[in-house]
Amino acid sequence: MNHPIELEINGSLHSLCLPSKCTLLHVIREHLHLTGAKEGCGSGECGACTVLVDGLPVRSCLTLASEVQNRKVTTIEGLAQNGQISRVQKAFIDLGAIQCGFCTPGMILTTHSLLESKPQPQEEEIRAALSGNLCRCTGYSKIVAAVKAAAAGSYSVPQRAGNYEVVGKNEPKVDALEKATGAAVYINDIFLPDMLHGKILRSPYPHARLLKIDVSKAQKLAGVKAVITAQDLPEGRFGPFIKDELVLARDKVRYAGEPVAAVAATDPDIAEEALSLIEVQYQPLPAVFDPLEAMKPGAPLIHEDLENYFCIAPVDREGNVCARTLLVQGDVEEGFRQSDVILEETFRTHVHHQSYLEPCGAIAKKEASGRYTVWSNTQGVFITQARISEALHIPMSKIRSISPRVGGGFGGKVETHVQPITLVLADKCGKPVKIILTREEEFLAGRPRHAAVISCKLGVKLDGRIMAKQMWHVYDSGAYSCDGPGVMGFGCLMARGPYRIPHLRIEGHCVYTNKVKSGAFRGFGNPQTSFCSESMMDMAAEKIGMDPVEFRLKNALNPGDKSFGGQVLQSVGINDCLTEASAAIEWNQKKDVGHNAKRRGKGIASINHISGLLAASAIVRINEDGTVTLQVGTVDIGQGADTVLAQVCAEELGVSVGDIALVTSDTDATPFSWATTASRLTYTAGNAVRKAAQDAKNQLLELAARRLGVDKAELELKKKRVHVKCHPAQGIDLPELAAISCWVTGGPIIGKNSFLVEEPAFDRSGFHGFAFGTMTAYIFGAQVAEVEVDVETGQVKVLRGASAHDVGYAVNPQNVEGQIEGGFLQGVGYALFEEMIFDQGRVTNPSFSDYHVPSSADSPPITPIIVEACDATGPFGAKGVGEPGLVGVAPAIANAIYDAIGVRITELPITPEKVLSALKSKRS
Amino acid sequence: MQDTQMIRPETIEEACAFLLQHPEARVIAGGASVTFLWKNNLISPTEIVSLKKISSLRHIEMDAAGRLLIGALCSHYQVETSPVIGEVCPVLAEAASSIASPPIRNMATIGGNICQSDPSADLPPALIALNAILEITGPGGLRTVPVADFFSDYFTNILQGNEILTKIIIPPLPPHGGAYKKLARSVTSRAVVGVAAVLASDGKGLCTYSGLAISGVGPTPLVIPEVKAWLGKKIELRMIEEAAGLAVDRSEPISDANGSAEYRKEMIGVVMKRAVTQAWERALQGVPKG
Repeated sequence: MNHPIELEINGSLHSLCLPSKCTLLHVIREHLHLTGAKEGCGSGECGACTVLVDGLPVRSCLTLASEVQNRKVTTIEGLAQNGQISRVQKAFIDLGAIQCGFCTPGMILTTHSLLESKPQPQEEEIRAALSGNLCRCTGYSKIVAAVKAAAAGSYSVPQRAGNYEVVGKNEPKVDALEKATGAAVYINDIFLPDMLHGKILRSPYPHARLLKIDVSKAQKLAGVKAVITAQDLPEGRFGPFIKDELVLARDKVRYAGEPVAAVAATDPDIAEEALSLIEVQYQPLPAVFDPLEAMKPGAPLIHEDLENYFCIAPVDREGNVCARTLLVQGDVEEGFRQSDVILEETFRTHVHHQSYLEPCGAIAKKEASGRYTVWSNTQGVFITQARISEALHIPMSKIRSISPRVGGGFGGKVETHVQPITLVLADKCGKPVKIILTREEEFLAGRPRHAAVISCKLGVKLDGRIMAKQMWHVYDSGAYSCDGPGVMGFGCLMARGPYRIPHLRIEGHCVYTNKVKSGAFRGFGNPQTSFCSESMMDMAAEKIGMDPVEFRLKNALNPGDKSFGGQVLQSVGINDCLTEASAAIEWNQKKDVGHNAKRRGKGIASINHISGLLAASAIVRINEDGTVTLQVGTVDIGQGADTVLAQVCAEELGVSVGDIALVTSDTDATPFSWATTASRLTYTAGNAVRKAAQDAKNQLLELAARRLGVDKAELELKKKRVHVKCHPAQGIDLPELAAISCWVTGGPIIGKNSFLVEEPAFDRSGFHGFAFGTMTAYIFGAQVAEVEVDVETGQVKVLRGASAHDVGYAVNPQNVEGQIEGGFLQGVGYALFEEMIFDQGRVTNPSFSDYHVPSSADSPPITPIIVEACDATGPFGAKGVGEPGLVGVAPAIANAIYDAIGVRITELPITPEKVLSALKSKRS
Repeated sequence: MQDTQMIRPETIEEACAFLLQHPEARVIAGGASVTFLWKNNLISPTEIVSLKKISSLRHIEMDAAGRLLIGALCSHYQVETSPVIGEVCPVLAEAASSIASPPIRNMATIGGNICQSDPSADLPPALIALNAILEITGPGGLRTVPVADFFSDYFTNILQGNEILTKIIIPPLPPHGGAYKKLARSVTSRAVVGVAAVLASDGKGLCTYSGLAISGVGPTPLVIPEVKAWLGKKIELRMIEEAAGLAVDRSEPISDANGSAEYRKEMIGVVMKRAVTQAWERALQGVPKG
């Protein structure tokens, strides 16, 4: 039953008739379509729903609408005055404080309120005031800087001098304004007429046979439009490497949280109620949760049909081991014989959730043409299209996959989530269907980072040379393989680290267990293996009495050295990374050891990674007025790829970023790009865009040469004009040239490029099982942390961090810094705070109250350091930076803890209890 | 779907009269906890009584007898920033400022915090250490209960369905030092162990008042009455350790994502030492600083 209520929102009175249970968030989003306030968790933990009530920030998701009658509610849409955005909004835009934008409206409103009550806050006050607004992208550094700038009232955006007009500059993000004002459209902000809402029934058992599903009661509930089970679907198995996953469980379930049935109804509450009316009979089966147990003979078999699943490459599988890798170089036994010191240790890492603030969701609609349109927050519209196609046996031509703005992904939105289920429901109902996961579902059924068990044997000479390294990895894939073979294979490839090591034997196993399936997460197997390797580096340095930085420098790669697998490395900035990162925390100065219960230490780790792989393509169209339309199939998930690609295109065509209309993330409207993964967009898509722009430029110059009667080689295109280089007065303006092409001669100009990484040469002779080949340019980084350990409570506080990364060339330095800072803080979370905890396969902490994403008040100041070892193969020399910011943080912290208190923690996360227990073992 | 009647009385009497007729009704103050439970269908109340309009419950004032009266509807933000609380019992402000995050503190109320009776809550130990008394209004009028006697189990208390917590009364205390120390996994998360200590000194270094309570280590805040034996003595490490030993023996912590039961037990002594030491330092300085 509805009751009349009156609300004053952004100065306007709204008379509504609502159920008493209606929250303020629900009213402003669903009734008033003010969608700047977001639902990130629904339980008041994340702060994305923040609005101001009488000037103070509150959680609109926990506020009953009827309780704020007669009070002034301000949403982000109400912050601009007379069409002018506020100084806080402006500072957030100018200073790069906005990435995915999902936290931005709440963050800006909280800042606005802070500055009203405290016009000149100190950094500590800012961090405390914002501690209820989680941000997963920025590491809070640029947010804190923007708040300070807004308070100060005047600031400047640093710009470096360079050879270029557009690249290398801190261009504001092309989507920053719409994100700062709450206008950006995310999946849950799309409302279609007659749209239904879907919900998913999930298995409560980690391993069980599905005996019977009775949906008859659910179907009869008023408002229910469709109920589906596996019987309504083709048996389409899908996955990136091994096709083992199903849209809905058939015959058996393999993890608690696996989708079993789904409902579409006129209202999410009705759909939820319908789920409770579905009767499922399960026969529980013996389950296995630990990957080492799962590898033993006689362990419960999770996929009886493993041998029959289609694989995209040989994976070497058996029992619960879905993929194996063995990478050999040299003779490791010989290497150990040549070593003076040999160390052996085993490390364990845990399941780590991406915790993007925007939950996964999709809307599917069957068009009159018989095609399907699927909007979803995905990191790759083409991957989504492919997975739907293979899962549901629908040709790709019938599927249009679109991504609106995406509220963070970090790997978790690469593979499909609810898109296929949503499509099937929409097909059955003949109406559009929306499904948005709850935060709990994100934890129960997402695709988090693999837990791993990694053993390492390292042989070193007393002079500091590393002679041999042997590693044995087990990555816990959970119930399905998903990206597991890739994560394991890539972890093995990265296991050498950024060092010259003559003898290597690296082994990997990817193992099924009855837990939620793991997937891609920033670093893709590299953080796990680097935690082991970089901890071992410090252990070895201590053993031979060498400084950890010196030891790393001694073994660090140089340009011209080869990767593991023999790929020649053109650009190698690891030396500068190590030197600059260590200098940033005064590595060589006598350290402050702390006092009493609080002990201080410093630690370092260095890493290597890649700038991506696989294909991208781009189309550049010169509009008849000389502006440009850039079509590229990439998805900007907050990191700033749209801006960087626009900069690359603008630079090449002599226009500004504002002259470019960007068309992305739509399988109908943009050419193929593999997903936003592997730190790849700047390099791969950047190359495609640059080459497509060069193609268009070449055509423009040819046309101009004909018109001007000069040789093409004498011309250049700069500042929207083609002119003769030695006689600049002679030329044609770009708008005129474009109009000529469209209306007079030559025809409309379209530049295009298709780019696929195939070089340099790669030697696979020592590689067995599932193994990667040629990669793009290698990237390097060094990360340092200074910590304070409370020896009485075991708590570790990171006092400060610095992170130096060889990015080739920073197309947008502010964006690069944002990636480094955000990655660093996620690394701090990985090392100290965040852990998915399981009890008999069930996640016991599926909420932000028990899964601790670091807040601004938990975060250290982070110094980002850009190192530029230009790579001739990258656009303007650029390489990648998306992932490495996280990779070395955990071992840097573990090494700093060792420096502080002399205990070596070998298991992540480093909880206070583990620190205390290690201290006790050391004492006894 | 079942409808819920929302009642917004303007006086306490009106609220009590309604509750007398509907003892099963849920009372909400800030509303955050009840809204969370309600929207997730963990509760389905047929009536909700919102106290929002009873403005008399939002005051903080000192009465003629020198007692500090805090209306149950005062937000944590109000408690945190109130000049009179900062003057009279800053330990309460310190505890309030450690709760969750600012937006939650803007919504949630001191009365709601007490009535929710979360054993990890931050305000109850501070209130117990201050010897605070709760004023409860019911059909028969007013009754008062020491905070220490209010909690009966996890998320459970002695409040009857037809009663409302209306005021928190801090009795006059001598000049004292207080401290609330909270051990938590992150700045915004719940206490693993929280200890509030309030101590006063006679100017010669002897203790004239001692209050101590611990959150997070059992179904209700843990009170150690033996600290009354500190009166007339200098507070020494040995005494704190003895009290911590008693607390460990009497604690019944559970394991959860924030910490294991063993860790909680182990941390009682550490956090208690820090809270008592700081409170005592402050008491000796004669500055009743948070």
